[in-house]
Amino acid sequence: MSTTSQFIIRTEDIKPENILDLFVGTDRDLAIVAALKAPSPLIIEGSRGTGKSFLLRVCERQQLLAFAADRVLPVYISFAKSSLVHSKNPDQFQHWMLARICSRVNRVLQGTGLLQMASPALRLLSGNEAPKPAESTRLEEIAKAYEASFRSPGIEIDDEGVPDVEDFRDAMEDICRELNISRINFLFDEAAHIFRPEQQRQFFTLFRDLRSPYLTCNAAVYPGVTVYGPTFEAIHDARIESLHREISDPQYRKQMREIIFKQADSDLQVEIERNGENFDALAYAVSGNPRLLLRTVALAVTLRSAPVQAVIKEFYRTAVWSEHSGLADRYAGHRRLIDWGRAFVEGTAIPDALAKNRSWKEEGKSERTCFFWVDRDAPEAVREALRLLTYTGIVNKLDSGVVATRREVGTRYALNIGCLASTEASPIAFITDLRAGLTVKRFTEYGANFRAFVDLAAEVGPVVEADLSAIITAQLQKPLSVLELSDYQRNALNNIGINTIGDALSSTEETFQKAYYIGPKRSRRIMNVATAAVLEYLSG
Amino acid sequence: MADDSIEAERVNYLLSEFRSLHEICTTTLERSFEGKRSTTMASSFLFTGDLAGWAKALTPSPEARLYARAEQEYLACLINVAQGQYCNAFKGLRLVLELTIQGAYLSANLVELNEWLRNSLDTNWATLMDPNQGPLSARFADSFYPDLKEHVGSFSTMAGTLYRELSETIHGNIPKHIPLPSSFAFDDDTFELWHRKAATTRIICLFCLAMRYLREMSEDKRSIVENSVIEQLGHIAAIRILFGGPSTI
Repeated sequence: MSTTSQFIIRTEDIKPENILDLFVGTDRDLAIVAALKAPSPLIIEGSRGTGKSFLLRVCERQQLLAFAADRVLPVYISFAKSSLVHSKNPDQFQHWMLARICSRVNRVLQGTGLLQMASPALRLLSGNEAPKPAESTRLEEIAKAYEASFRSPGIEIDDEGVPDVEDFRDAMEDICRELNISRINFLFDEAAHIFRPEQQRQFFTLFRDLRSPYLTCNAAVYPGVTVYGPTFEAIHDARIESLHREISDPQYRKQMREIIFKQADSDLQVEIERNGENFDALAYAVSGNPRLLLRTVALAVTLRSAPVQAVIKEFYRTAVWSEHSGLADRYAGHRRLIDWGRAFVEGTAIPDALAKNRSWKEEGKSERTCFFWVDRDAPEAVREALRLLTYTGIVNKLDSGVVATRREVGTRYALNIGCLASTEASPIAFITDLRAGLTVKRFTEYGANFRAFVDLAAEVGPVVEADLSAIITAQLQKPLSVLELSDYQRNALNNIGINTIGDALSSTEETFQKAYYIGPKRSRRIMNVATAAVLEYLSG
Repeated sequence: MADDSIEAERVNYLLSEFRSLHEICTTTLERSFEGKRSTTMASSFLFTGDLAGWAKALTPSPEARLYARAEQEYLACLINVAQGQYCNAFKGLRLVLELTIQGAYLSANLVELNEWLRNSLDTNWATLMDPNQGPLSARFADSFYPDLKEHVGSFSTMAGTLYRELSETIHGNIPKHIPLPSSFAFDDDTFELWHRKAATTRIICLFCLAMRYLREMSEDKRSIVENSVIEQLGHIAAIRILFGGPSTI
């Protein structure tokens, strides 16, 4: 018996006061948190589950604790609900963002006891009304109305009272002076929807426009976010840091172990200590993704060889891929790219890497690889398909501008080690052997005219941006089984008549309490879990 | 005369109450050895031999007294768990953990050891778990067994977690890890839970002792503790190699 079933897999489920207790900071994590605190804007980029939200929360918590001395006010804002905004208003996304930002600033000022006077600047945060503690402000109502617009796509929202960007920036500066705040540090989470390029453009435009000596913008985005809009320049307007955890880091094993130890009881800790090699196999299989590690350790239940091998085979052959292929169901316009990406990895990249490793082993060479390289002149469709693979973490983009054997320049990627190992008879032994000789200098090269690339380009043609707006209605009809929920959570929801994504989104805490064994606390928790899972699903 | 009979009645009443409790203990003791449980009891019993072995191997070092005391406490835990006195059994485990780590700590701090022997010093858990001064610190490993340094962090975390869990039974916290039965009787889940925590206590204590002493012990003394150390810590290459075993398994 262990506590694996009680692991907290998502940052959203961790109480703010416990965030720092669960933090296992690598040197890189510490550097990123320090950069998030600094006055220069930072964008952190990482696949699902790599810990972006966690680092934003760590920064928020540490800055709140240091506020009395530093006077830098952190404001964490999640834009996870952006996928629900479907009104008729042409500027809906910008207005929704500003309403959400004002509401959050308002809440944070209230929470820190700073909101005591009713200056014009403070009134702006409430939608030009006098702030009334414990009551929803006009801007909060506007944000909620936008978030409910998915129910009647095309509805017009009365958003009178949402400030424009300049007024907002001026108001923030006034507030900082009035309340002796040296700077407000925005931490935008889930900042730009991967499948809504228009939202990405508007977000980055706002990100740039908010820049001032009194405001810093930081954001967490997925690797697939690439549409920065007309004014934002990725290099000049913010530093972009990848959150990829390097498996070649000498501290990698130790840190992944610590992440699990923080949440494990002593029985599981001993089990990990006694079965170190099996645990390490799981830790390398996740290729630096803490959420996948928590999930796979929980699935294995014990760390003996047989269950660990079974989990690696099962999880990386089916579960990881079903998440990737599931994107095709949601974003039908990308289906061909998503399916091609899978076929390329499973049918080409993995067999090529395995063949190389096998032949080196037979020759007695120590080098091993999980890396491949793609020419920078590969068709756009190929790059798009690879971008989608990095989004789900099946491949990680390592670096661009890498010169390959014929002096061609391209991008280097790493295959997820779990996917690589899952096809082997003994994944644990395979991973142990692989990690001993893994070197980034060895990679398979795929030139610009590689056959599979040419075929894809011929079939897909020029890639067009997907438009998500028409898709939401169909998504709401999908059953709960598409969500990442435990059996207990799913059953609890089914028992009270919540069977679809739409049901879960429309339900209130009172609905959740209908089940006789769910009290107020648990109902809120289940509602939060369901909402987080739904939003993650809708976000792609 | 009347007073004597009242007194006798009172004593008889008390005696019968305690006989009932004793009977529960006896019944529980029998159930604790039924079927596979006898193997579980036997497996946990081995740790008394381990501690006795270490106390013997380290005599006449003054801190060996702590290990002998830990052995006695552990024996008391075993009888407690066998008789269904689960709360005491868990409390005792915490003491065994503390005594062993304290022994290692004092062995490296002669001034404090002498103060402790004169009963003028108490060590507390925070001191024992100090990340720089404690027996489960990298610094300690560097001094006594550098090859174990990479394992020290895990064992230190394990010791901290176990101590927190066992402390639930001392402070009467709302149980999170160690729920105790509400009635005084045999309880299979609690029985199993105790043995799991005893196994965890054993591996942590043996690691602590091995890291502190193994490299400086003579071959003769090392052979006294060899079996248990290899059985519990044989997954660590540096320990296997010290006893002439292979570097990989």
